Amino acid sequence: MKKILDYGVSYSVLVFFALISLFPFFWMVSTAFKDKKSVFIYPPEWIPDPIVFDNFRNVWEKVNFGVYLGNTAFITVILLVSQLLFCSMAAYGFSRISFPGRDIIFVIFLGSLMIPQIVTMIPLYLLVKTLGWLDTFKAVIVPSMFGNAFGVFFLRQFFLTIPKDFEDAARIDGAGVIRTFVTIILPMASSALVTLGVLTFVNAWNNFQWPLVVLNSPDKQVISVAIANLQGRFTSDWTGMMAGALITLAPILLIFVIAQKYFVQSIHMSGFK
Amino acid sequence: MYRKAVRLVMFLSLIALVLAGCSGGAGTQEPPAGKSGGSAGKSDSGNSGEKVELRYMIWDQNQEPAYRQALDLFMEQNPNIKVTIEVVPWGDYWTKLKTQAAGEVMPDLFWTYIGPIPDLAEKNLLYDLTPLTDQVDMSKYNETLVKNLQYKGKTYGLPKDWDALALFYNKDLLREAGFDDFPADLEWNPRDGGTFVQFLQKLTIDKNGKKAGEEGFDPNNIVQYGFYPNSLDPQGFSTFIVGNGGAIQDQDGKLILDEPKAAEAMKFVNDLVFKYHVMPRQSEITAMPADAMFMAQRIAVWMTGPWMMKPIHESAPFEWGTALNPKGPAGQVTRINGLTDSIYANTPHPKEAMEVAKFLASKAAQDILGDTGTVFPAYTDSIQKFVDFYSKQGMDASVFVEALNGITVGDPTSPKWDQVIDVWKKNISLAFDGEMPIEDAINNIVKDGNVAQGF
Repeated sequence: MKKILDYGVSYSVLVFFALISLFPFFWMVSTAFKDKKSVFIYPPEWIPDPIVFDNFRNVWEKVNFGVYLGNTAFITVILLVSQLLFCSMAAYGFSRISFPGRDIIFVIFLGSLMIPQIVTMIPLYLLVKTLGWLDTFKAVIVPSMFGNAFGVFFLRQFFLTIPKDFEDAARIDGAGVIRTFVTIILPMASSALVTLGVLTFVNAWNNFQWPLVVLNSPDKQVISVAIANLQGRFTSDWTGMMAGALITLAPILLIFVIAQKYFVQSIHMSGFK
Repeated sequence: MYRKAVRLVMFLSLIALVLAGCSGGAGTQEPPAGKSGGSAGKSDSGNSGEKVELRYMIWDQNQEPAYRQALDLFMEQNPNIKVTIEVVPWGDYWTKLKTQAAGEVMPDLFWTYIGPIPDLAEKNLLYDLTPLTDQVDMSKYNETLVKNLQYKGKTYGLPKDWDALALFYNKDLLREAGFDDFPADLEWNPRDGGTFVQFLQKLTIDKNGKKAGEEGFDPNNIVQYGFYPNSLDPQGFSTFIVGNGGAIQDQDGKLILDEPKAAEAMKFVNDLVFKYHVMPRQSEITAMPADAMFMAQRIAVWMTGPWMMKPIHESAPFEWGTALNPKGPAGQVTRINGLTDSIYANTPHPKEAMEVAKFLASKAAQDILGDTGTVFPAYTDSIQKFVDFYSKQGMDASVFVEALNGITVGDPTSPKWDQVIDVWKKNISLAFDGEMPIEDAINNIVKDGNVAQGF
C-alpha cells in the first residue's frame, strides 16, 4: 500500500511539472496550425479550428528557409566536430597529464565562464573586423571553434572518473599519450561525448546574437535571425513565427531522439565491463 | 578501428575548415581605412564607371519588398551604384548599429527616426544632409516632420514616411453598448473627462455586466475596458499633453512636465485608470499586451497607428473602424513620427549615398510605398495612393491624413533621451499600477530626467 502511495505521489508531481514545462510547446504547436484570426481568441483555443497548414508554406517562402537552414547546418556541424575534438583533448590534458601550473590554469580557465557574452562582444567584433572576417562564416565559427570552458570542465570531470588502471595497462602495452587517448579514453567517454555533443549542437543551432552582429549579407544569415525578423517593431507574425520555430526545432528533436538511444545503449554496455 | 574513425573526423574537419575559409573570402568586405572624415574625401567616389556598393540597413521585413522594388528602379537609372538591403530584427537593430559604429563599419544608409537622431548626431555618426534641402522641393513634406529631423540647425534626413495616432474601435462592442456609429466630436478635459470619458464608461463592463460609473460597478473585476493609449512612453502622452496646451520639453530640451497644463494632462490619463476605471493598469498590460487585448475584445477603443491596419484586418475576429482622436481643451492634436534614411558620417561614398536618400524620398519611390500599402509616404502627392490601397480592401485610412493636416506634434527627444526614458518608465509604471501618486512620478521624472540630461 505504501509503495503505491509513494509512486503515486512522485509520479503526479513529476507529471505536473512536466506539463508546466511543456505548456509553451503546446501553445507553439497549437498556434502554428492556427488561422490568423484564431490566435487571440480568449480563452485560448488549444485545438485549432480550423486547422491550417498554410503557415508552414508561407513562412518557408517568405523567409527563404532553405538558405538559412543550410547556413545554420554548415556552421553547426563544423562547430560540433571541432568543439568535441578540442574540448576532449584539453580535458584529457587537464585530467591526466601533469604539467606545472596545471590546476591554477584550469581554475582561471573555468573563471572565464563568469564573463557574460555581451562584455566580450565589442572587443571580439573589433578583432574580427581587423582580421577582415566581417560578413564571413569564419567570423561565426572560429571564435567558438577551439572549445569552451564548460565543455572542457564537463569532460575533465568525466575523465577523472575513469580508473587509472586502464591507462597503466595501455602504457605497459607500449602506448603513448595519443594512442591511449584515442583507443582507450575516447571510447569509454562515449556517453559523455554524446551528451556534450547534443548540448553543443543545440547551442550552435540556436546561436543568435553573434551571427546577427557579425553577418550582414542576407544570404549568409542563420535561421534564428531569420525567425526573429518575423517579430516587427509593433506587430508580429505569430503564426508564421510558431511555424518557423517548429521547423527549426525539428532537427534538434531528431538529434535528441537519436542521442537518447545512444545514451541508454552505452550505459547498458559499460555495465558489462 | 577507432583510429580510423579519429582520422576520418580529423580529415573531415580539415576539409570543413578549408571550405569555411574559401566561402568566406568572396564575401569579405573591406572596411574603410582611417578614422575621421578623411576617408569620406579621399576615396574615388566621383569616378564614373566605377561600381559603388552601398549597404542599407532596415528593421522591417514587411517593408523590404517595396524598398527592393524602389531600389531596383534606382539601380536601373544608376547602373554604377549597387544597394544591398540588410534586414535586422527591430529588437536588435540598435545593438547591431552601435556595435558597427564602435567598429567604424556602419552601413552607408540606415533607418532612423526622430528619437535617436540627437544622440547619433552628437556622436558625429550622421552625415549632414542639409545640402539636399536645396536640391529638393521641401514644401512637399509636412513641416513638423521636416523640423523634427533636424538637430541644431542641420538636417539629418529627408522625411520618408510618417505615422499618426488615431482611434481604432471594435464595432461589435460598440453596437452591444448601443452605438451604431462612433460618436462625432468627442471631447475630453482634465476636470471631468468630458464626453470622451462618458462614452468610454459605457464601454467598460465588469463581470456582473455593470458599466463604469453605474451603481455597484466593481472596478476590481473588469472584463472589458473602454480604452488604451498607444503606450505609456512619452509619445503615448503627448497627444493629451499638447491637447491640453502643455508641452513635454521646452525649446532647450529641458523637461517641463510639472508645469500646470502638462501635469493636468498626465493626471487625466492616470485618472482614466484609477478614477474613471476605463483603462487597464500597467500590470494587466504586462500580462497581456494592448494588441492582444484589443484582438481578444477586451479593449473597445485603442489609440494606435496605421501600422496596425493590416494586422487587425488579418487577425481580428470582429468588425472594426477608425476615428479621429478626441478634441482636447487646446484642440485636436495628433502625435506624428516619421522614419528617414540617414547616412553614415564616414561613408566612403557620400555622394552616391545621398543620391539614394534623395531618390527614396522622391515621388518615384514614394509612389511605390503608397501603391503597395507598405507605409504612409511622406511626399504629399503620394499620400493618397496609400489611402486608395486600403479603401480597395474596405479599410479607411483617411482619418490619419486628416490628423496629419491638423495640429501635429513630433516626439520629444534629446541627446541623452535614453536615460530620460529609463527614469520615465520606472516612475510611470509605478504610477500606473497604483503604487505611486502621479504627482510624485511627474516630479521624479522632471528632477532625475533633467539631471540626466545635464541641466
